[in-house]
Amino acid sequence: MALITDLILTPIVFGLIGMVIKRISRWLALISSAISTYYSIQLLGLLPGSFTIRLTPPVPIIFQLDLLSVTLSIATSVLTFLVVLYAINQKIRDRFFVYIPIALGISLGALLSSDLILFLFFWGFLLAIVFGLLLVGKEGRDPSAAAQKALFLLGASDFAMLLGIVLLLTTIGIGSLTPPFPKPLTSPIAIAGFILILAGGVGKIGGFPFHTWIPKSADVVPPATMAFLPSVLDKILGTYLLIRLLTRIFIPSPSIALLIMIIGSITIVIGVFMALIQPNGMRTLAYSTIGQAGYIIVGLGTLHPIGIAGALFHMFNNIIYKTGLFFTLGSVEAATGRSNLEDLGGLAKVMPITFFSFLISGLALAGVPPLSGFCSKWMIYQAIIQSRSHWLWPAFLIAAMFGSVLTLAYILKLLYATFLSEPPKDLDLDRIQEATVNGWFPPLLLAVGAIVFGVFAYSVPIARIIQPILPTRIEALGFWQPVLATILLLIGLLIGLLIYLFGTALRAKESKIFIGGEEIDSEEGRIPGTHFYSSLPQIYMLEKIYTFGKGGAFDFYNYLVGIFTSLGIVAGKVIEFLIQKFYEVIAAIYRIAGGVGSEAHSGILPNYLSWLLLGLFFLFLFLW
Amino acid sequence: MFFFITTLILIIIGLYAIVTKTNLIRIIIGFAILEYAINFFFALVGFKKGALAPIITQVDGPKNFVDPIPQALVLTAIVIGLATTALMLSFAIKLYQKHKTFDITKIKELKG
Amino acid sequence: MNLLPLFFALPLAGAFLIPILSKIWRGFSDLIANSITTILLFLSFYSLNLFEEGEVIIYKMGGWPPPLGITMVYDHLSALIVISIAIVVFAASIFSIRYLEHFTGRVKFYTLFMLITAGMMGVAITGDIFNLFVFVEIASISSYALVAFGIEKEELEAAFKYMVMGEIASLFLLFAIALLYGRASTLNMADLANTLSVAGRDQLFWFVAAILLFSFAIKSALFPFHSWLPDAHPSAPAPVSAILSGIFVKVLGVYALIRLSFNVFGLTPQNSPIFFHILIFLGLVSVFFGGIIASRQRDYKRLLAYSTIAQIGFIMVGIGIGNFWAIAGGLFHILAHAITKSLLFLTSGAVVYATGKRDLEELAGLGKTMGITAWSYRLATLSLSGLPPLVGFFPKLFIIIGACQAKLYWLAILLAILSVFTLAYLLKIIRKVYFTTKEVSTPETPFSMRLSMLFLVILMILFGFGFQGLLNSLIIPATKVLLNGTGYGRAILGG
Repeated sequence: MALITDLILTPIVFGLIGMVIKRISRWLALISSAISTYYSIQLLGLLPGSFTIRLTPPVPIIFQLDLLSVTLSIATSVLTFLVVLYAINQKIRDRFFVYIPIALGISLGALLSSDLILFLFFWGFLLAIVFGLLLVGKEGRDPSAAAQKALFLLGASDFAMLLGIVLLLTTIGIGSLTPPFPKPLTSPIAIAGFILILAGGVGKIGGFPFHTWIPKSADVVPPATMAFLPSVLDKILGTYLLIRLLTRIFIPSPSIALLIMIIGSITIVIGVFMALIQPNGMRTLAYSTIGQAGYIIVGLGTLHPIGIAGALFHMFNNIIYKTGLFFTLGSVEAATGRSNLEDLGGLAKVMPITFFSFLISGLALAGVPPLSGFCSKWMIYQAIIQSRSHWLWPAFLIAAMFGSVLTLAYILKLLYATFLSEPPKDLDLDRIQEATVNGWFPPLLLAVGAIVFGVFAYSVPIARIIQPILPTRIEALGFWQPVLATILLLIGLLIGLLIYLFGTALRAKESKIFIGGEEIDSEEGRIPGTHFYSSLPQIYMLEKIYTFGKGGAFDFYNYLVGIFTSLGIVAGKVIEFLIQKFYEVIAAIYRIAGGVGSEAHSGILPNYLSWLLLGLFFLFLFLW
Repeated sequence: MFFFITTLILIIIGLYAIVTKTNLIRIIIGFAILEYAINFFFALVGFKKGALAPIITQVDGPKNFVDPIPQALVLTAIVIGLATTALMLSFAIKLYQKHKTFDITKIKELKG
Repeated sequence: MNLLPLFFALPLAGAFLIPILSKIWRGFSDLIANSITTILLFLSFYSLNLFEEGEVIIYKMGGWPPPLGITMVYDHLSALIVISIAIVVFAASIFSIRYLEHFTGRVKFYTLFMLITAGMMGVAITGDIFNLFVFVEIASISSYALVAFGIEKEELEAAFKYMVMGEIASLFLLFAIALLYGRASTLNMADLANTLSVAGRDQLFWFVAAILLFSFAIKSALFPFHSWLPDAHPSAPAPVSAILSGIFVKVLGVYALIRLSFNVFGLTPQNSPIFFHILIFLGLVSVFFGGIIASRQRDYKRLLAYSTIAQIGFIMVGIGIGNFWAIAGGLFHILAHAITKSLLFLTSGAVVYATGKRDLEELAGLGKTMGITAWSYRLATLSLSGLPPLVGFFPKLFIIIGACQAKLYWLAILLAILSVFTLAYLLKIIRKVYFTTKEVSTPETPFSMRLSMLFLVILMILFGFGFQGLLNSLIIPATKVLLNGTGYGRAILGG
């Protein structure tokens, strides 16, 4: 019991001390996240258990530990430690290091609390800290608009959840996140409460329609914040809430599952297609975060054991490689001072370790076997096929699969534009240095993690982590043998390497480019990475496929990708547009009503008095 | 009954003056009328037909008194009314000095 | 010794002493006013120890037994109001010390300040309906004078309009009292409750109820009766704005209304649904229009004033739903909003003190130099829009719980949505005033101002974390007082 209070309070107290003594707040954040890692691992020894703390006599505060909450606590603590380690010598304001441990403590509290009201307390408290964290901007950028948007959207989803919880408490009497038996969703009030809480979970995880704050924040807050908030904390907490909601509190019906899967598919489509056309690495990753949240939602929405296991596994994978990606792009930004893809290029030579980490994490994100993203997506596909809950299931499958293909597309774009393309003239590669140890070590560690979670998918993460958490056994997953595949892949790579080393026929020959007898400037001949898909949003589909095919960037699938990309971009744009319009219409109603009300206060006393008399008249009319 | 109807008419006259008149002084006069009407009404509440003034001169005197409490209360209310009228008039004077007008509809800088 | 008279006698004595003693040494005005508000703060918290839940303390003025003389009644509802008043008045008086450098007439200011305090305290603890009127008038007249304290064009205009509407409300209150007296031949609220519950309800009863509702709706600025508030509250000096918006409207409007309607008239949602539906309707309209008009304002204080209209609407909705949790939420919001809104107005005072400006378009970048002010504002914003660890969360939670229990689900959803809008308009000030990267060099406010803001911030956090204790010792007993209905009369007269 004392362990739990220590676990929750230590980071909060360290954060508060850091608030007073700003100088040491960086080190306090590092130490406190290390301590919480230690404590949360200790929690494993207490499993399973429930602990009651009595603050004031009538109110018991109940914490409940099971493998799910403890595992997620460990993951949160470890990732927070890595984020702090990564950010510790970067040019970030000290306030960042004050909020991070406080946010850690609060999220641990939310993960471990059993009582819905207590959970709500932590959850809302976290919103305040998130708002504070988002207000810590990059140097020279004003994050207030983005932070406000986040506060508004997350606040709206939190209020929905508050309402849902109150509904459940007052009508059905569900007061706990971990009731002994799940209840069937039958009465309309329970369904309403369920959907409201669902909105809270989807909002937290970054799903449609609460996602728009993430890309807006992406290029105004430091990369470490992006790595911490949308890709670690929100994913873990959102997934946790949704798993509890769908498996422990209620037995959802197929129509509910359909709703969740539709939300998930829309999220995937928006995230992936919007990611493809961003000119900025951070924004690409931000949309990618949204897209991957969609996979988690779809996996949970199947309600199939494999789907839930896959979603959980995908969540773990996602926090591993996405954090790594944010770290590496952050290092690039710190080293070059640039974030637009057009201004970057050729960094693979000067930042080899960062390049390697980015390569591995990126391919893992794209789901390239045998890296980690593949297996979890594979499980989610299988769950969609096996559950077949609704005739729409092929649509979900297509959304998920093409999302995966296009993920590879934008990752290759990022990879090419940042590390492989010819650098722009004004980027002096000689003056750029590899990140310091704490800059390259965390992403490298995460990349290794992505390899381990992929190659040994069955023996390590599924058998040791995922399977014990879930009550049902995860059945065989088709004939995917990651270890065998890896060995084959390694042999292939080895052969390739031999050919590269000993063969001469394949060696490319460098030569100068001439047009009309004149040597052209290399800058003109350069193809920056942003031009990869720059034509997509503007031109007609057929024309685009034509140019694209001519360019020959991806000969093996460019026709399919072309068709679906354009369809998807149209769909993504339309949905984004509709959301935008929805918010605009609400804002317009708000403005017009406000304008009318404001005009009515004309400052003329007799008008005001006539309102009084009118009011008096109606009072008499109704009461007398 | 006649007196009650009279007070009701007076109240309506007072409200009418406050709401429709635009001159500061007339509004204040409207308040005076409204206030006196209500005070008059209050005094009437304690009135009994044919009763004596509530002044006790002997221990076993006649029991047929007018209720004395409303009279005491009305006295208090008149004092309060004096304060409000004085304050309102002083506002009116100051407003005239600043705006050079007594028309309340022309004094409308605070709006929106 | 019975402490009750001290609550209004101390500030009255202060109002008397300040002008006299200040002739000897000018510093006496600050000293007396601040020591009296400090004593009131301690007394109000100390008074909670004097009686148990369900009990009342009665003070008989001049020793006359209840139905005859004027009585002072102190139960948990009064205690809640008295504590709220004492907190706000304490913070405002500390804040005034340096803020008044802008004004001449420090002595007059403190005299009026003490009078408004005495009036509000009297309203909160009186048990006599005519006495209620007298205290309402004391508080109102001093508030008119305080609104006009700057004697510039705008202040005078606001004060005159405020006074016209406020006096209409006061005179109708007097009219209602006359009618009640004619009906029951008593002025004691407890005796009145007994008489009215025996006599039954006829046309006259509802006529009086309508007039009272009209009068208190003006005083508490519910929507169609609100038009004085956005003029009057911003025009007063900032500490007075804090008092007016933070607690004044609630004592004179909300408290008086609920005390009379629940405890004297014995109205409940069951026996008079129309009355309570009117309250919900007026409250909702206030929340809606107060919110949307607030977000259009360009003036720091005027925005906050519209926000007050919206928040009073929340309280009224809670009262109007009328079951246990909704009323508890409404009463809790009286305290929570008192702390939060007075803090918001004090920050406006700090900004005006430092820059001399109130227009949001002209202010910028104060977050860097005025750290405490900016943080106070941010925390108060989060509290008022209902963020959990701060005090503003619980009232709204309870009101929503109450709405769900009363099966008014649409209302619960509407309230949740509208309270998000609270955030929208309060954030406007953060964005414009505190958060721009523009460099400005305004000095931080003086120590005493920061102290009073910090005091309120600490209370906001303390009451948020310790809400359970507050709920058990104050809010729930106060709610029970209201739900006891006309049992109030029997409790006092001992029948």
